[in-house]
Amino acid sequence: MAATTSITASRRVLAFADRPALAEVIEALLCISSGGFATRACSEAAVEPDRCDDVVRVGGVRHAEPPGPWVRARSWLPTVAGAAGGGWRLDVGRGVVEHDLEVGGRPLTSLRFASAAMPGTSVWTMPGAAASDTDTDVGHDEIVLDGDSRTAVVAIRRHERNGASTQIAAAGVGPDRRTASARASHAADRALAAGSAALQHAHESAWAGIWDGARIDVEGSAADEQAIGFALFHLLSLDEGSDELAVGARGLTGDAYDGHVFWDADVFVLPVLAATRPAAAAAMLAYRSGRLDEARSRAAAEGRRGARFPWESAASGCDVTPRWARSLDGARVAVTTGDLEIHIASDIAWAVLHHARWTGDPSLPDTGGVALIVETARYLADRIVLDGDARGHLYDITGPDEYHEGVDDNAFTNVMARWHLRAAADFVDDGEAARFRRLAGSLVDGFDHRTRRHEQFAGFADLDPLLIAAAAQPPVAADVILGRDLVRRSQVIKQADVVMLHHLVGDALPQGSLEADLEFYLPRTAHGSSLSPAIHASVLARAGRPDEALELLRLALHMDLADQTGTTADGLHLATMGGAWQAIVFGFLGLAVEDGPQLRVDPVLPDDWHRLRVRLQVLGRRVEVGAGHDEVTLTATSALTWTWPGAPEPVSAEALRLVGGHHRWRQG
Amino acid sequence: MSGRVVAAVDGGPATRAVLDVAAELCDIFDAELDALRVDERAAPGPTSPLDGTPLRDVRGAATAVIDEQAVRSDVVAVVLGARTLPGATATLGHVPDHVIANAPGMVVLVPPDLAPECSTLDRLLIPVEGDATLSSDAAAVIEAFEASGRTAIGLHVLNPRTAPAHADRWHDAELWSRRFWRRCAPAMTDHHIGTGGVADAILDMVASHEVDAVLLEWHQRLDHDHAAVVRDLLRRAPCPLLMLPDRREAEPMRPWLAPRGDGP
Repeated sequence: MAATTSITASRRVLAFADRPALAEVIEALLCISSGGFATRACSEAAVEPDRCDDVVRVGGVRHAEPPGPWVRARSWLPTVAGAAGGGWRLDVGRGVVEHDLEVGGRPLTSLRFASAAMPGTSVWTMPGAAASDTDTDVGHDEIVLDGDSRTAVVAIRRHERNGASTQIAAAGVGPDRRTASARASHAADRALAAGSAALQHAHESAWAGIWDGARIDVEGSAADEQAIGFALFHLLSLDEGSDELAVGARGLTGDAYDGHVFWDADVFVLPVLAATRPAAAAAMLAYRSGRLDEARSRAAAEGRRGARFPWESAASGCDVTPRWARSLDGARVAVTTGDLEIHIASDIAWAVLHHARWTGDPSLPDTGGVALIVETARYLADRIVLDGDARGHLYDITGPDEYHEGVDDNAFTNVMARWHLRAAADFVDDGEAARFRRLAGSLVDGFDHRTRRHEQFAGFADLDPLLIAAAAQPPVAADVILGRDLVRRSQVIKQADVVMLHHLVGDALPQGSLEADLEFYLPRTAHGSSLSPAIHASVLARAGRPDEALELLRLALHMDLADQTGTTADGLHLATMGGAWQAIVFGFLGLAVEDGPQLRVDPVLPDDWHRLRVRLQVLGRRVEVGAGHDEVTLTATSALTWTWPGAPEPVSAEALRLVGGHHRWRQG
Repeated sequence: MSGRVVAAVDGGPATRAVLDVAAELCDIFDAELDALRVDERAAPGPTSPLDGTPLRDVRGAATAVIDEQAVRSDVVAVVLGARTLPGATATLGHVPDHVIANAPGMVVLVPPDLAPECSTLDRLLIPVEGDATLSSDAAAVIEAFEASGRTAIGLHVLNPRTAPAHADRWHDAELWSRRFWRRCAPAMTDHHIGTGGVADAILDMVASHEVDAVLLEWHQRLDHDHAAVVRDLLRRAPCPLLMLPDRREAEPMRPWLAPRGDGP
């Protein structure tokens, strides 16, 4: 595919000042990872002895459950005596982190990367730091991460050549230390033999290849393009090259949430990987499939059929959601998400079907995907309670808006369950299919035909009709600031709940409800969740409000860059990043795979952007969509069926040009 | 002994409490007590004890005398009464008003109605708002309190201006606060979170956690648009306030980490 040429090198480089108070934030922001071997950006000039104690994590290597957090280990990076730290640079294009240092009065720059060409191997090098120009091996070392069921070993090789000091670290994982060590040593020795220059060349070539199929260019805003590049760099680094991929809420970049896997992975991150690194997306689904038996056991323990996946999951698939936490006044308070957020069932089913539809991969029945869809549907079917009028209800549940816990008939949960049951009906025998469809049809969804909007849950309309602007300027953690009781009694909500439906299953909702739901819920939304801004950006773009969408997209893109949650030091918000990508692709470009299969496009750009160019993979092809305000160019590596709103009929072509504008495109 | 704690008294109602608090500070900072009785009319004279505490009579305007002492490098802290009379309506007497705005180091203001049994300084509260950080001077005070076997208590006050914009779980504020204290005062283990008005949150903690004194870092400006929390506490705090000048440049509440690069 022809390279786009509009971006300058500096657009791919993010620079960060060295500020001691922000050192731990930078450690997360500049974390490097490949093959499931992650290293936070520990400074070579670290002055606190314990600062580099929790720098390394290896995918799949966890402590015992609960809670099953990542095993973490000290840094393999060197501490340079007498060094004073300076600025940092992340070059997302090359996939390298540079750090300026002053050593004994000399300015030196280190470079580190997690090899995309040799996943699981990382390299640190600093020209001018070696004692001599001779070619010398100066030592080796080993770091052991003892997990509950797996052990990782990081083998370290130190080398000096041409005045440069180099360290190579390779991770090996196995059932025991000996096996892991042998694997790590083999990889480290192989890398050492190749040499750091060759490793760097291969690594940068590999990233060039990755970006060739995943880059996003924004003409009109270098800052937006940089922030998008930052998010994509971390999302694309998630690929562990393994059969299973458990994407924790903060990945391997930090310890928040004990590395647990939430719906964040299925709904927010997976679509990005399905369109950029499809094998990694399939590995994410394999992680769920591999824990289906545990989910079946949990459903059985409740006396229900099917499979109940936990709200928080680690290695085993058991529920590892914390049962209590401290409130602000220090009281011990129950955490109910593990019991009440049953929408995780439909979230997983959505991920399976989205992946199959987007990739066009026909292997759904072979990969356990059907079992995931059907078993989770069986569980939901058993949860539905029919009233005297044969209307189906889901009682005592919590939707994405966690400010309102333990409600009845949360619209998000019910509508997703209805969509889920209908989808699952395609994969079961006639009798069960009829039951699924009957129950799906029975579910109340809170939709009011008069107002054209959904009630978020039964009784929501009776709450204090407080608009968030009357209490605080969003985004705001309203439950922290206003108190949980106050927000529970009000219509202030945490994040997209009804609006989330329009993002995931908008085609299954009544016409006209998108605008009405947005109009009602947006002024009530605190965006207290880091997941909220990106989803609203996506839906606002679809509603033809791209400038408002861009404001919220920028909020999402700077969630970590500006440490908006105050917890970036504990890891990056990967789901927020995934949501931002979705806002660009599904929201601003309006891409969707429809029956056929055919790819629908309907771009709408904010005024600040002159042109948006996105590369991705869909339906087995590499595709580039270049969208301006009045023109769209579409190219694919082989003929693809395209459609757009108002198209007289779908068009099959490798390249296509549309002119017009949002909702009024025509072939040009 | 590593310095002096200067106690300035005038024989008024706060005198006993000022001397007791100063003696506590001497114990904390391993310092020597230098108690001055300042009187514009009195002739400088020999030391005269007050309930066993030696006093040095100094003639001169109180502000000038204290200013002259406060700039000396061996002075760890200056201690004086906050108001001339218990129940006075003015926030501060003119002497403490001048001293806290001009002293280069720590000034400890003692309420005139502080009961004698309340002049111990076993529990020090360190309130911090939002993303602010503690200066090295404040860290040294905390360290001295803890090294002397006393307790430093952190209070992290969150409100719409200062709290993180997002909290994915209601208990994330605790995570945020823990991370904050680790960065801010890693040795301190007793942390609390308060919400809403800063002064109210501080006074709630003082009442509920038997706090003996509050450490306040501030920029030494009491005019109308500045230091609202300090002004409020000077009016309402029932315990001594350790006022520490903050000479750092004010940083934005949310440090901007955004990337630099070429424009479009």
